Amino acid sequence: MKKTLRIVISLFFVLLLSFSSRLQAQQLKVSGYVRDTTGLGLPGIEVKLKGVATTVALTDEKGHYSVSVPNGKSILIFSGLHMLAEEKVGNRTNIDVSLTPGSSSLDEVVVIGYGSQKKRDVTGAISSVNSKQIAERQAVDVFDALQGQTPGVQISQESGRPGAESSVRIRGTATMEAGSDPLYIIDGAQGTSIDGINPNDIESIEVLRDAASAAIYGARSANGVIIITTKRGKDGKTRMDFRETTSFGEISHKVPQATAAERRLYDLKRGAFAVKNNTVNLDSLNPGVNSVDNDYQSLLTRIGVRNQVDLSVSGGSQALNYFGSFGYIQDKGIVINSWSNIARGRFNIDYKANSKITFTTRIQASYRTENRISDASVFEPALTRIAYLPIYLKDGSYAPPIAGSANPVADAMLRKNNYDIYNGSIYNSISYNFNTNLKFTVDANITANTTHYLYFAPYILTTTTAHLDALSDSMNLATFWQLQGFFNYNKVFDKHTVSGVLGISADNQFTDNSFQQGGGLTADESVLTINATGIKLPSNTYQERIYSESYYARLGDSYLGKYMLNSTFRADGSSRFSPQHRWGYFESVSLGWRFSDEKFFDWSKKYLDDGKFRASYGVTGNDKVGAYQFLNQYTVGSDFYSNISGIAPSNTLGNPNLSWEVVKQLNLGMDLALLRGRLSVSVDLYRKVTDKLLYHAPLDESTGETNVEVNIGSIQNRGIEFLINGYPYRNKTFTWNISLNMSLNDNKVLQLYKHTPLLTGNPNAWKVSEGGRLGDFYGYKALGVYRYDASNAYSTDWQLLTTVVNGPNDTSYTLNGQKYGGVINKIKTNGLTLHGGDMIWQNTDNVTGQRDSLIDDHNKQILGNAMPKWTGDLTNTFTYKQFSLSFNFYMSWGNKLYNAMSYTMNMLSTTNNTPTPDFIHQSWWHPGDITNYPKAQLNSGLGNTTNISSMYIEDASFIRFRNIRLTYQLDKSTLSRLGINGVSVFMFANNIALWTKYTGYDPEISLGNSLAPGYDTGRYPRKKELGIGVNVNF
Amino acid sequence: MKRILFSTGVLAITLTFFSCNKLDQQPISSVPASSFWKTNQDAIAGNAALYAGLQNVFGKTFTEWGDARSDNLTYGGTGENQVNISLNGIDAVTASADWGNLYNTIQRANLAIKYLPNIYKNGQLTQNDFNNYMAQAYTVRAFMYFWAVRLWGNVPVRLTPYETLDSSQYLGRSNKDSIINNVIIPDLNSALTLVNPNLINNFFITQGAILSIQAEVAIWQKRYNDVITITNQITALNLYSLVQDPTLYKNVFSVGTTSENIWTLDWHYQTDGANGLATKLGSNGNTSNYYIDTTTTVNNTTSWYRRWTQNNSDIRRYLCYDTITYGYTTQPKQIWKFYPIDINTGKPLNPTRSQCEAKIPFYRYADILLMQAEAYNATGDTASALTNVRLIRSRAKAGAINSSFYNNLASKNDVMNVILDERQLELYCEGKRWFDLVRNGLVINIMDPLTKARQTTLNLYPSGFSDTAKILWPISRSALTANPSLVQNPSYSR
Repeated sequence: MKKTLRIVISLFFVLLLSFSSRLQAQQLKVSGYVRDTTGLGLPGIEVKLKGVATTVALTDEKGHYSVSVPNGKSILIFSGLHMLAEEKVGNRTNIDVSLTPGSSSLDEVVVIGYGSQKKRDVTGAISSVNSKQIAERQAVDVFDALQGQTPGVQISQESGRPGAESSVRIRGTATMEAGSDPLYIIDGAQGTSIDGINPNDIESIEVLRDAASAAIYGARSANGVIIITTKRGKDGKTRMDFRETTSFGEISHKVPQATAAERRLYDLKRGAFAVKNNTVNLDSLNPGVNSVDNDYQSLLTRIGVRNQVDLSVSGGSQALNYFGSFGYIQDKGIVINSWSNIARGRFNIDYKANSKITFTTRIQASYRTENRISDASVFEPALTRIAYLPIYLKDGSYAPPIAGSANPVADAMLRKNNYDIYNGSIYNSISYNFNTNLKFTVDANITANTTHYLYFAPYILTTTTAHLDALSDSMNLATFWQLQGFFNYNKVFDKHTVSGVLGISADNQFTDNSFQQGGGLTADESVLTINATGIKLPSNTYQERIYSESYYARLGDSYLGKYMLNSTFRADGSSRFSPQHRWGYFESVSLGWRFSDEKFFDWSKKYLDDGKFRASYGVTGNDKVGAYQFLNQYTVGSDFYSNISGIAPSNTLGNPNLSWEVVKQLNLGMDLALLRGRLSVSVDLYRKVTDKLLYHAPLDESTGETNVEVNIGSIQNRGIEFLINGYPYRNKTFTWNISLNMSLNDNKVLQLYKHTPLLTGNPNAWKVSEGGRLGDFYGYKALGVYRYDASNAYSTDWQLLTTVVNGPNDTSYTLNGQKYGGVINKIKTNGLTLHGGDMIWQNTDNVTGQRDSLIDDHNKQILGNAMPKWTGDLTNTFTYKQFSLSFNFYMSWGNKLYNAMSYTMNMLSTTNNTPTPDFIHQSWWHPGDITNYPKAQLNSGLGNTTNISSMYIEDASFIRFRNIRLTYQLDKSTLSRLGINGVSVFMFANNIALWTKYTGYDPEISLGNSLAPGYDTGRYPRKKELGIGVNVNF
Repeated sequence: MKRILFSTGVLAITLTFFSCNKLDQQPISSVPASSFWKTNQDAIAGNAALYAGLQNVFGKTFTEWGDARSDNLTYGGTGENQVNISLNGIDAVTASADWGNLYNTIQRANLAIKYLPNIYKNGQLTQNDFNNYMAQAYTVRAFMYFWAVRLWGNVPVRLTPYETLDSSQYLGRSNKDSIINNVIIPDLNSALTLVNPNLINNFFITQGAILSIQAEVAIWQKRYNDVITITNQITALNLYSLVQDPTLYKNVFSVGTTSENIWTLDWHYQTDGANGLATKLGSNGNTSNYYIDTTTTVNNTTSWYRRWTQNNSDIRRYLCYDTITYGYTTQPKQIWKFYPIDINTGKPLNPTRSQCEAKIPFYRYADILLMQAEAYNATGDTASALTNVRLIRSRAKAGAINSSFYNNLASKNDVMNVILDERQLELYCEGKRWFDLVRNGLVINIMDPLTKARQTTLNLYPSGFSDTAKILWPISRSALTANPSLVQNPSYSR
C-alpha cells in the first residue's frame, strides 16, 4: 500500500512540474497612497493581486506603495488588520485608497494547514485571534491569550502557581484516555514548544475546530488544531517596541479553616467518642492547646510581584524582513518561596533571494527556572493541621513534625522542587515559486527540550534525625524533528479560483530520561548533588522513539466567491502501531455558499454585507498512546532479588490490534456580516463521534497484568457555538465594541467494550456507562444523619419512619403522620447496623428490583457531572480619543466538582486531621441533633466518611470578572519630535471577582483525565492581580 | 532545465529519505517479549523476578494478612486503615485486600513454566538447572495460591500465562479445596522431584522450603499424619536446627541465614525498596501502624501478653520489643524483632521506614517443630507434642510449661492450647497467628470479645467479630472493578 502511494505521489509531482505554466504578460506600474479616514498614511498595509495568494507589496511608513500588475483587468486588494478595500486597476497608474478600520473582518487572511485562505472563502469552523486582542490581555502565555477568545475552546489553568500549565479542550472531550490536548502548529511546524512562545510575538492564532479544517493534519488532529503564526518584520524603517509591566497579586480568597478554638471544640466533641484514656486536656491552662492559633493560609501567602519586560526589533526591505524579540518575566508567586523566571527569545527572518526563491527562518529559544510548591505536602497539611500546633520552636527554627503533622511553612520554605527548562527550536524553509501559481516548499524543524528537576527534602521535614533526607535529580531530554515538502497551487480560471496542496512529511520524537536518587547527605545538607549522598538508591533511565510519516493533499475551488468546495486527504503511518494497523486514512469535504451574493438576496443588501453557509464533514484521528503499546514487554531494572537483577513482564499487556482513535465530525455553520461591518455573527453546530476509543482498560487482576490499551467503543459530542461581535456605537472619537462567544456541549457515551460500564478514577467516583456522559460522578447519596439510635427504622417497604421520642426508653414511630406498629427494618453497611450520628444513605432497589437492608454497590447512583453545560465569554472595549478601556467576563455553567480538599479535611482518618469549621460546629454530638455531618468519630468500617459520597460533589458554576484594562495613548505629534512613534501607558486588573457556590479555592481546575475529571485536590490558590505598564514604540 | 534538475534533486532526496523503514521501532529501554527467554541469563533474570514478585506481595501486606487481624496486634495511632483492620472493619478499599501483586507473581511463575523448556531445548540450560528453575516456579505458584485460598477462599485460577487479550479475560472463582488438591499439591509434588537437592541457599526455594509448604498445606487440611511424615522428612535432611545463642536467634530475622532458617525472603532496601514491615511494626521516628495488644479489660490475668511480659527469663521478649521502655503496664509501640543489634547501644534499632530490610522468615525450624507438635497432639500423641514444645521453650529460656494454668494438661484441648500459645510467642508477627486461629476455628472465640472491648474503648457501637463470613478477606474494589463477573465475599458490602 505504502509503496503504491509513494509512486502515485511521485508521479503527481512530476506531472505538476511539467504543467507549470509560463505566464509572462506585459506589466503595468501602479502606485499611490493608502490612508486612514483621518488622512494619515497607513504603513504595513498588504497590497495583493486578486487571485494571487502572495503579497505583492507593503505600504511604507507614509502609506505609499508601488506595484506592477499584469493588465488593466487586475484587481488590487489592500488589506490590513480589520481593514480591506478592492480597486480595479483599469487604466489608472495612481490609485489612492482610504481604509476604514473594522470595515470587514471577513476579508482577513486566515492561516490554514499548509497555506492560508481568505476568511471569505473559509468553509470550515475556524476562529482567529489577532495580536491586538492578545495585547488587551497582558497575556503571560499562549493559553492566557486564548482563554475565552473563541467559542468551542475550553481552557483551564491547573492552579495559580507561577508557570502553571493549562489544559485545552476543543469542542468537549472526545477521547477517554488518549491525550485530549489539541495539536499545535507553530509557523507551519509541529513539535515546537508552546511554552516557549512569548504571546507578544504572536501575529495570529487560528483554532481549527471542525474536522474538515483539521483533517489535513490527520492522525493528530482529532482534538482540533491550533495554528500560531508569529510576527514577521514589515517593510520599512526599523521599528522597536518596548514594553514593561509590573503587577501585584494576592490570594483571591481563603477557604474556611478551623481556628485553635474550633479545634478545641472538635477535640471536645471527638473526646466524647475517642479513646477514653487518650483525650486531649482542653483546660485553658494547658499551654499545649492554647499558646498559638495559626492561620496557615496567611502564613503561607504573601503579595506576589510579577515583572515582565519585552523588547522587539523588526523591519524589512524588499528582500529581507526580520523580527527579533527578547522577553523576561520574573514572577514571585503568592505562596512563599514560589517563583518562576522565564526568558524567551525569537528571531524570524524572511529572505527573498530572487523572484523565485524565498528562505524563511524561525528561531525560538527559552529558559525557565522555577521553584514549585508541592501541592500535596503544603496545602493539604496546611488545611488539616491543628491550629494550636507551633510552626516555630522557641529558638526560631522550624518545628519538626509534631504528632505526625508535618510543618507546612517549613515544607514550603525548605523542600526544593527546582525546575530548569531549556527549550530551543529552529525552523527553516525554502520556497520555490515556479510561477505565480505554483510554489514548492521544503522545510525542516528541530526542537529540543531539556528539563532538569532537582528535588530535595531535608530531614527536618519528616524527622529530627539527621541524614534522613531525600535527594533526586532527573534529566529529561525530548527532541523532535520534522521534514515536510509540499506544493501549493493557486490559480484563477475565469470564474473559478482553484487552490491545491500536495505534500509529504516525516517526523521523529525521541525522549531520554534519566533519574538518580539518594539520601543521607552530610549533616549540614549544603551540597545538593547526587555525589554528596551517603545512600545511593537505584537510578533509572528510559528512552523511547516514535516515528511517523504522512502524505496529504487538499483541493479547493471557489466559484465566483459564491460557491466554495474544499476537500482534503491524508495518510498517516506511525510506529506506535503494529505493522497491520500502522496506516490510517483521513479525509474531509466542506462546502460553502455565499447566499448574500445571490440575486434573490439583493433585498437584504441594506442590512446584510455578507452571509455564508458552511457545511463540512471529516474524519480525524488521535494517536496519543504510548510508544510500544502493541508489544508485550519485559521490564529491566526494577525487580532485583538477592542482588540479581530480575526481568519481569511489564504490567501493561501488549495489544497488537491497537489502532487509531477515529473521530467523525459533521459541522454546519453560518457567518453573517451585518450593518456595514458593525455586527458580525458566526454560528456553528456540530456532532462529533469518536470511534475506536483508546482506553487503558484495567485487566482482570487474576491475569497478573494491570491494564491493556484497547480501542473500545464510541462517544458523541454535540454542541452549538456562537460568536457575536458588534459595535453598538462608533464614530470618529468614540467606539464601543462588544464581543460575546458561547459554547454549549453535550457529551454522550454511545458504546463501550462488551457494553460493560466502567468505574474509573481513584477513588472510584466516576461511572462511564452507555447512555451516560463522561464525567458522571457515581456514589452514595447522603440524606443526613440519624438523630437517635432508634432513628434507623424503616417500614417493610423501606420508607424512613419518623421517630417519636417520648422518654429515655420509649420511642414510637409514625409513617405519613399515622402511627406505625409494623416490622421495623434497619439499614446496615458492611454488615454493621447504623446508629444515631451515622449517615443516612439513600437506599435504592438492587438488581432484582427489591430493596434490602444493605447499603452496598447497588445503592450507588449518578451524583452529577463534571463537564460544564456551557461556557461563555463577554468582552467590552471602549475607545475614546486616546483612551481605551476593555473588560472581560468568563462564565462556565452547569458542572459539578469533587471537592477532594473538603473530603481530605472531613475524612477523620486520623485524629491529627482537623475538619472544616462547618463540620466541627455541625457534626452530630447528642442524640436528637439534626445535622448533615456525622459524629466526629473514627470511621471503623461504617463508611460515614466514605469518599464516594454526594457530600463532596459541589456545584461549580461560576462567573469570573476576569480582566479589566485601561490604556492611554500619548499624543503622537509631540512624541514624533522626540523620535518616538508611540507611547501608551496602561493599568490592568485580573481575576477581580468570582461568583460561585463552590466552597473550594476556585471552581476552575485542570480538566485533567477524561475518565476522572473535576477532581479538585488542594492546589496552589489563584491570585487577584493589579498592575501597570508602559509600551513604547521607536 | 535548472528547474527540472532542482525538482528532481529534491524528489530524489525525499524519496531516499522516506524509503528507509523507520516505522518499525522496537523498545529501547525494555525487552520485547519476542527476545526474552532465550538464554541462561534470561532464566536467571526470570527466576529472580519470581522472588521480586514475592517482595511486592509481602512488603506491604505480610503483617496485615498474618497477624494484624489476630490478637497479636492492635491499631497504633488512629490511622483509618489500622483501626479498620483491628476492629473487624475491613472493606473492599482496604489496601491489603488487593490481590493484584499476588497474581502478578503467579503470572511470572506461569511465564517461567511456559518458556523455560524453550531455553532448555535450545541447549542453553543444563538439565539440572532447568529442573531446578522449574521447581522454583512451581513452588512460587503453589505458595501464592496457598495464601490466596486462605485469605479469600475461592479464587480465580490461571495455570498458563496471560499474554494475549482474549475471551478468558474475566475469570470466575474456583473452589478453594479443589485449588489445594488440584493445583497446590501437584505443583509442590512436581517441585520436590525437580528441585536440586544439593542447593542449600535458604534465600531461594530448596527441598526444605518445598517440604515446609507441604507441611503447612497438610496441617491446613488437617492431614495430621502427613504433617508428621513431612516434618520428619525435613528433620531428616539434617540441615536445620534450633539456634541456641540469643545473638544467633536475632540473626534468624535480621540476617536470615542461620541453621534455623529454611526459607527466608531476602531484602536489600537499596535495590528492592524498603520492606514495609517497619511501617507496620515499628520504625525509627514514626508512629508504627500496629502496637502489641495490651488490652487489659479482657482476660486480664490470662492474656497472652501478660503471661509473656511477666516471664522475665524468656529471651524472646527483649529480642522482640524494648522491655525497658515498656514495662508491665505500658503498651509496647515498637517491635524490633526483625532488626539487628546496634553496636553502639547494644540494643536492636528500629530502622527508618525507607531503609527497612527485614528478612521475612517464611519457614524456620521452630515452626516445623510446632506444626509437628500440633499434628502429634491431634493424632493423640501428646507426649511427643509436648517434647517439641519443650525444645522451643528451653531454647527461649522460658521455663517449664505452666501446667496449673493449663489445668494439668488433662485434655488434648489443653495441650492444643499450649502449642498454640507457644506458636504465638515463638512465631510472633511471622505471619502465622491469624491462620492458627482460622485453622483451629478460634477466630470468633478470641476475636469477638477483643473486638468488642476495643470498640467500647473507642466509644464505638460494640458490633464485635461474630460473623464467620468475615474471616475471609473482602475482594478489593479494584479487582471487582476490573472483573465484573466477580462477586464480593458475603457480608462485605462496599
